[in-house]
Amino acid sequence: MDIRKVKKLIELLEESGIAEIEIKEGEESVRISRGGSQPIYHQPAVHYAPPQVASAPAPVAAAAPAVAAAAPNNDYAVTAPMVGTYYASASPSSKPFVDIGSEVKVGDTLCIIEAMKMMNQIESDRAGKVTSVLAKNGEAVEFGQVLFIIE
Amino acid sequence: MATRSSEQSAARQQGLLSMLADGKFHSGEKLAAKLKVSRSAVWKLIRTLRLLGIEVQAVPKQGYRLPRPVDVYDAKTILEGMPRALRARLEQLHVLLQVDSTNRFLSERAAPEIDQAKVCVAEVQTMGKGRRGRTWVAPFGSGICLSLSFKFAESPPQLSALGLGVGIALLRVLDQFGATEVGLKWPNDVVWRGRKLAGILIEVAGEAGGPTRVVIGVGLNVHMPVPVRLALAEQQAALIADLGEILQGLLPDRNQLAAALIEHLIAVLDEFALRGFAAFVAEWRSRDALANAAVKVLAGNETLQGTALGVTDDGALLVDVRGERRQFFSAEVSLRAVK
Repeated sequence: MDIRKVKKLIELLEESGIAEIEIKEGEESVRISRGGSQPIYHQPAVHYAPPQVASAPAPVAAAAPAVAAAAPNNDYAVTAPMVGTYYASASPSSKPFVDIGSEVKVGDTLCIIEAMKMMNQIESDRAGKVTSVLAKNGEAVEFGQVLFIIE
Repeated sequence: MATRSSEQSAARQQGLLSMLADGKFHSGEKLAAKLKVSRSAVWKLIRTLRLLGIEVQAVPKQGYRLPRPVDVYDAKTILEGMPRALRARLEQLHVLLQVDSTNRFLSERAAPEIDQAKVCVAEVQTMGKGRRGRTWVAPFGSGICLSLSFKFAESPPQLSALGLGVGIALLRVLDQFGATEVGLKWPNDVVWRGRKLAGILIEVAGEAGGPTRVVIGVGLNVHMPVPVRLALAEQQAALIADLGEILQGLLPDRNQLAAALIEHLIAVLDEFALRGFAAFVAEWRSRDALANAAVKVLAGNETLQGTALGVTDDGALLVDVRGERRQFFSAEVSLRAVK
């Protein structure tokens, strides 16, 4: 299932105030619910961001854990370990580190987040295939925001 | 990977440059004899230097010379300028004639051992990294391009503010050589009377709470030729300062500057590993060139005007925007004229 659809569903869910949506598409199904089930999500390992940001994550970040919990396959969400500016490539002229469909190994650079003129290389801690790239080049990202989905 | 012959020719180019460094005339014959190559090989080497942007004058019957004496880098002199205990922590010191970027050179090499450092300096940087692919302009002999790779045992507290700490290391070096009126512009530009004197770019790679490798790139203007200043002012609207004008001729040798930089960088890294930005925040605030100034902040797609209020304990920039205190982690900040 296209992760953008899932993202859209989450937004719909948030706007509507309904507690749960379940969508079936062929053999795949996704159920998204607010709260309830304990989300299983990637704990950002390096805590660069100040606590007040961490405790008030952006809506997308809050919704993301539900996706990870509900997705039926082995999707793994890579989240931003800090607040900053997202860059998909090492320089504006070079190509992105990863694209949809890229195979990544543990330790491969996925993107760079710039904060206070430090270029933080965000490395993959899972091996797999990138199925979604959720941040845009040059955009601000919040602590805990989902950047990539790796299958 | 460099081949043996390219290493050999790089060594010859450096050898030739050291001989010409005094700014006096040297005949092709003597240069050839000292380098143990033919005179036509000397001519080829001169041509390579010129291609690197190094001006070499050739005068019939007198020989070759540089238009002015240049203090070329020398590994031995740099090492001798450092305290003995510190030398032991320097795993590698690469002194290069030419490199695309000193940061990239070190990023591509294995990280040093924990608490150890690797350093790279280059006479000519062809693709010096500024932020976001901007090039850092540094013609031959005009400044210092130095990168230092360092490995923390574990990621230090407030690692995101390391750039601000590195700014302090630069100020300490400049203070030591007698430069006055030097301050910091958030996050880590070193400025003199509102003009940029030095810049810093840091690349971080690390794993979950484990060892963290940082590559710190420093660009310091030492002697910027007028045409370069004009070009920068025109193309990037960037006004720069150099150490030459600040110290009025009492310019230290670049090897001494490089040695002092390495020493102060490692001292700051050691302190940062233990206490994070907390160890530097008071010193930073006392040298904040933007404190209480009217500023323009470019953050993402937003442009805001306000008054700079200094930095938070995490190193974020605090700005009063129409009575609201806002903090920024990623932004471009510049002074604005007050009507």
